[in-house]
Amino acid sequence: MQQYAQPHSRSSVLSGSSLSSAEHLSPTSGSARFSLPSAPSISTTLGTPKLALRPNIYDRNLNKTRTAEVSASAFAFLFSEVVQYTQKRVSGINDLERRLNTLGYRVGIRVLELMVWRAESSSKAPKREVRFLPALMSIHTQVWRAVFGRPADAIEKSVENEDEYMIIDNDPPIERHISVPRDLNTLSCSSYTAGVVEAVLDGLGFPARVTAHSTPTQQHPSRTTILIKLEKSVLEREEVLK
Amino acid sequence: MSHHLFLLSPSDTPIYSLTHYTSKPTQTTSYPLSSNLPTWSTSAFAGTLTALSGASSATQSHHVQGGSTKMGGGQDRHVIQMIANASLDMIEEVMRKESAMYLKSVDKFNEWTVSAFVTPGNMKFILLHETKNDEGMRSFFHEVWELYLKTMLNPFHTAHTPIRSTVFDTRVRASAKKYL
Amino acid sequence: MAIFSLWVINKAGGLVYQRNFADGLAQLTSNEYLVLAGTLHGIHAITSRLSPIGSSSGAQVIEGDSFKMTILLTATGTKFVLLTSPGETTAELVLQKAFEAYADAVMKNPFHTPEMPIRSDGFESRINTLIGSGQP
Repeated sequence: MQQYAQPHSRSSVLSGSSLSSAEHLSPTSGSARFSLPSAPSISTTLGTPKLALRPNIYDRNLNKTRTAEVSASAFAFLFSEVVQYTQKRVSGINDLERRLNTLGYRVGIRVLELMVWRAESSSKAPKREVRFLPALMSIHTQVWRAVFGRPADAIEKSVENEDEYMIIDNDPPIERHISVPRDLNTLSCSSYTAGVVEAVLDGLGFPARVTAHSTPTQQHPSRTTILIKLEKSVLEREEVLK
Repeated sequence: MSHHLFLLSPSDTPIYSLTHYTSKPTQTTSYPLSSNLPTWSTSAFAGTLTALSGASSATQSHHVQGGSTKMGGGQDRHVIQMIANASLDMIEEVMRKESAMYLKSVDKFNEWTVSAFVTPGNMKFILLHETKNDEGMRSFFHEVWELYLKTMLNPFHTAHTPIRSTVFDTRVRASAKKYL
Repeated sequence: MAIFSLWVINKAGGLVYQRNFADGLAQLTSNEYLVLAGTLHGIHAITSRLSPIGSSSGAQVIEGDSFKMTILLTATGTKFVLLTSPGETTAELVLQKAFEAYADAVMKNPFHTPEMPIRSDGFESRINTLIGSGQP
């Protein structure tokens, strides 16, 4: 209700005073003291009440349509504001990365459910991923495709630590327009992506700590590595399932 | 006859529950265990104990909301909740190995059979039922999954917190009426 | 044919970006560039007010014997100024592209403060590919 009321009250300012003065004179609107004066004026001008036309979230189709694409520029501006907003409220780089991670996490839990629903809902017996490596592969391809429109560039397994895996993106779309200043050079805004990955792994039952690191190369200056450090329980479980 | 649905978050917090009654007749089964209960069963725990043993007792009629429908044993609200929560161990055991989301009859307790549905994000939908209705439950779970997903996508809903949407409630009830 | 220099002047007349690409103009100190940018801002305002046909976007080209100054004014009042040799024909196009690079690499960068000097590696590299790698 609140969301709809806002733009309406603004448009009533533009539409002039004739409508609102008419309302004050009419006896019916006088009794409804707490209703927003602009709402009836909208319905009289358009003929039908606007609120009823707006589809409820439960009435919408979950499948992706062509018009559901979001402008990359719009997202870049939004993400830029997200980083600025967050940066004003933190005390250091670690704190900033942690907060971006938290924001990404909230996206990730939704992405996971929606992505699997789109893939599995038409099947008679929908399936979840229960093994780690296929899950990692599906993050590399499906999650990346759902979020960024293309798969990530590589998956690597750490040589030193058997609980560490890496997903590599040569040109992360969310960092395309970001130039990190030198005094913050350890910061990676892909912490947001790391949060998405962490949420997906958590949801699938592979709790892990996921961080993002800039690993530029000559060819790919914004190359980023998403480092996944699995919890011990995951490795133990994989051992059992082998 | 009734069905009980619980939605549990990954941390096992109940975020939604529904009791659905159908007018279909229920077969009355008697459990001899009730007659063997010791005298202390009339204490404060009597209701729970008799319920767990599967007996129908007069004390239960206070808790039952069903009105005219005849209730079997263990229809107390708190007993139902306990059975649902107890089945979590079984569900977690099974979902470690099984990749299917729909877990048919994972647990049994007295007259109750427990079926579950685990979403990719580790939400558990638990359904307590007395009769077999595999196809209906499959479709029911499928619809609840879609409704739950739509709830999740609402930016004003915080993940893993109780679902208060009345539309969600109405839709789940309609779906239960249709399939159960 | 040469592109000598690119300036970006914010809406208050402050020089937020200045870079030389080729020799051919007098070498000035950064302070002198700041003063010149402020002066150009004023001259530009005069040209737009003096226009006989009512509202005008102000001077677009100022030409001399040894150089040509092409000015692009954006909708938000930022000015892109390109100093080239008189015969250079691509100036308008280069300015459009520089504006595009600015919109992408500066305005979408969370670490840029609007109206403040531009220090963005992304913008530098976009200008590099557009005009050339800089000091000859």
